[in-house]
Amino acid sequence: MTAPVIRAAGLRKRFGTVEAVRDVSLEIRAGEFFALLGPSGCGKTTVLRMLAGLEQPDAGTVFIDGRDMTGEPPNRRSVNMVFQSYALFPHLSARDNVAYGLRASGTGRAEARSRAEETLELVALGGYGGRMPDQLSGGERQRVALARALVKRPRALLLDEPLSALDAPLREQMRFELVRLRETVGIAFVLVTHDREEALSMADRAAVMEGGTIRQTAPPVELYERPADRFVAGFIGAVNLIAGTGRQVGNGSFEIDAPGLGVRLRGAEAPGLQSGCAVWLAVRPEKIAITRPGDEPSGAAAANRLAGTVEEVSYRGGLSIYCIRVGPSPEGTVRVARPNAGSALVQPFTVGDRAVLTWPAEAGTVLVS
Amino acid sequence: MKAPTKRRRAPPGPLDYTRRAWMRFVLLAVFVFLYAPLAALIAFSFNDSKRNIVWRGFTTKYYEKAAANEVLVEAFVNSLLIAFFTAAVATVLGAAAAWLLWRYRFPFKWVCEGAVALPIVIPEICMGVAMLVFFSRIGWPDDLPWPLNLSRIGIAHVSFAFPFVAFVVRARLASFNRELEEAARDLGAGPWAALRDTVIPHMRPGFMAGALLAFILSLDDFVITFFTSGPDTITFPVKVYSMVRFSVTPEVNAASTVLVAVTAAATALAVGLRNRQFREGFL
Amino acid sequence: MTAGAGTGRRPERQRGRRRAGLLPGFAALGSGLWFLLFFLAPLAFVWVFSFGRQEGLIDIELAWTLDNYLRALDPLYLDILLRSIWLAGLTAAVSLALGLPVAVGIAFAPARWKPLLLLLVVLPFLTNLLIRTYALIAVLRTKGYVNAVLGWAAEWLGLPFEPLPLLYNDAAVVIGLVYVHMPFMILPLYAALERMDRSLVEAALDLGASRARAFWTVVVPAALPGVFAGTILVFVPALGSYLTPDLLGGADSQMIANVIERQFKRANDWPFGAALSLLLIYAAFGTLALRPALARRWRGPR
Repeated sequence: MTAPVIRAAGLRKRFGTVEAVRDVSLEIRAGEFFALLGPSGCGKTTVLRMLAGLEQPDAGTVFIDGRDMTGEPPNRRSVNMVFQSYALFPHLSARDNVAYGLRASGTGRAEARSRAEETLELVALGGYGGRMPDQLSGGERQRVALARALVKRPRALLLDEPLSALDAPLREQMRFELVRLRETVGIAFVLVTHDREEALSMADRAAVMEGGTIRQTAPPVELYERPADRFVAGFIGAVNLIAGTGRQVGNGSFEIDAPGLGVRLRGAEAPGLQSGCAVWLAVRPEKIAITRPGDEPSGAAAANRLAGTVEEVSYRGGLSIYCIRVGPSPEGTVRVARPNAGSALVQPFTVGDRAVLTWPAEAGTVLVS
Repeated sequence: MKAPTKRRRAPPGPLDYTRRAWMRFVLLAVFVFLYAPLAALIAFSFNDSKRNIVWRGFTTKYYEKAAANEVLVEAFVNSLLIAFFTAAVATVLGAAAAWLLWRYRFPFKWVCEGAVALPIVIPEICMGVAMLVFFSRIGWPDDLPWPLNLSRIGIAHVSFAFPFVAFVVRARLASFNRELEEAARDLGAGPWAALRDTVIPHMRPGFMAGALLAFILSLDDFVITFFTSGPDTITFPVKVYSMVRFSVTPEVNAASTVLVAVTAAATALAVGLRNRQFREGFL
Repeated sequence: MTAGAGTGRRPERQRGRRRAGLLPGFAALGSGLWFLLFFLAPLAFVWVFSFGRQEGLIDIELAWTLDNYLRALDPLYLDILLRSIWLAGLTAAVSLALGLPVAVGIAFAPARWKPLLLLLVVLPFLTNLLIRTYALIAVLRTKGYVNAVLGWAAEWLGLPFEPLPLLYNDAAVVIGLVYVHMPFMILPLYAALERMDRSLVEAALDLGASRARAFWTVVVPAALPGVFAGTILVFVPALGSYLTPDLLGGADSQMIANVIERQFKRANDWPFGAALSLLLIYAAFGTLALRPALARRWRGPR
């Protein structure tokens, strides 16, 4: 594996009494699309700004290309940023905005201009160079901001919520374009976002942050299928969490006594699990099969089985969400997502129906925290 | 490799222009320039020495001397009286003008809006001259008994102060949610009741700020007063002006300090009121 | 102000219309009449007199002559007119040079310091103009604080010392005008900087600009609307100032306002004074009209 482009170790930052970032370490590999994902206020933007040099960490170090850049100001770092507001200079044309960084580092006027034009073409804005920022649409401004950061040929591009100011269809389109652009220029992209779909669809790897710390760093599939804790499981997508006591049974699976439901459930084994500790079984709603009593599958697909009553049916177009009461306690409901494969005009289950829920052992993840 | 957790005494961030040494020096120098003369004026009003600028001990004798100066005291009373009159009338007129311009659309409204700004942009000396010419030519009586003999000054002060009030009240009205008034109407209030229950309570901080501004403007004005006062109608600044022309004396310092204190009190009142409104969620 | 209000075009035509109809009427009548009687009428008198001719001590003949305006072109008065513009311009320039760092300092100060710093800028402005000018006299006069400090310093160093003539000259007038008008410069500069998106400076630094380069290429352009506004807001009142040149200036540092005052209070030539007043008003309006034009020119593409 190649050496990381950016490596941060033990970053901490406090604003007044708020500890925005506590002990964050991460590595960004050459050419990868890395996402920092988390709810607002989790410290993700602060981490990005510390990488850019716009914020000084209270503790910890930032290495760029293996060199300690911790105390260096932003203008001496070989990474560039796309700001959430784009921060285009309102008094400069698109071309002069893009050329600004080149001029600042001593490139001649003529060369800076021609390279600015080239980069504008790269983001499909050829011929827009003479426009002022207030004559550009939101999407065009976004591209100018991208070109302005890319023209410096940085080692990594830092993007702070770059799509949040765009409307939904444009956002969808820009996701593809960002991925394509990263493949064209071949440098690492570090994306800060609170939108899990954005992170899942674009990133090679993502770090989920909460309360100033990184909870898990993994490729999107792993974040979804094998979340590290309850926060990640819930933040990445809808999830059923069933509390219980764990018991090791060997051959790669793990048994849970769920006292609220009076049953024993099986989940995939995960490292760090011990018999007798409090655990949660996390199961995604779409991984649970819902059938009428007697129609349920058998064998490995039915390693887990719960029976209950349909309490609520919520039609969502392509799928329907069923709430099934499986136990008397307030938490004793399980959400099941079922694709509306046939005609949805006749719902197979209605409120009050008896139903059986089954899912294989590997569909669930056992969490200890 | 260096220790991963080295502690730093937060260095100035990229945007901390204010933490640069030269910036702090300029800030300090400008504030000294703005405040040192006033501070010296106040300090030396308590200095027990007539001419010398060396500190000779604390005294209040110049305040006693100023208080014994009948003309000065009369001028001070006149100034306060005019300032209260101006604050009251200018607030009513300014609020009325602001409300009309905010609430209604009518032909040549833009002319009215521009006209209201006139007293703010016309040089004071020109307004003073205009008032002098006006009152003398229409034969405004100048032998009225006190306090009516101050009417020229009062009227002139209202004329230049009420557009300022109008601006303050208008700015306040801009934040009014018109749906509140419509909701009141919807719930059965008549037009006057809706105005009384929704718009006027919202305007109230504007009234206060406008009134205090008018009060301070009136109290501070010298140039316009200079052209509208007669030999028997002297205001505090006009009296101080005639004293200043002759010499710098601790007595003038003492009189000036009193006026500064009155202005400061009015300002503190304005700031305090605004802070209270902030706390009560008015703004 | 036209009293044409009260024609509310909102659905106001139900019950109670009459009671509500009275209020806008009263409001319009009150403020409109006052404005007409005690503001526009006095100005109209000055305007009419500016075309008149002084006959004897009190009488003014309405000759509808332009002589009074032409007399302003007399070298004696033209000189004063031009010096007034020069002194006011110099005041604006000095205020800008001092005010820009202060505005930047306040705009980038920690949020909890800003209200206090702004109050400190505004506070002297609320203090009586005459008293502030008087305070400067005490500082600048021959036996004032500056000369006293310099004198002690010279004595301590063993140098001969002559008190500097700091008062009653053009420099004293400019110092006084800057002292008095500084808030007019700082506040619009601050407002413009406060509106600026902070990430613009960060973007400049991120793109490799040094702190100084970021200041001149991003912060200063962002402050330009404030520079225009502040310069005009200082220039206009400075041009018409009476008290400062009167108290701090010497015999030859008179400004237009002093000449106007003399026509009305001593020389007793009201028509000429009126003409000068109107010229001063036109100059003020002309300068104020520059602002939107400057702002538009700046905003447009180049």
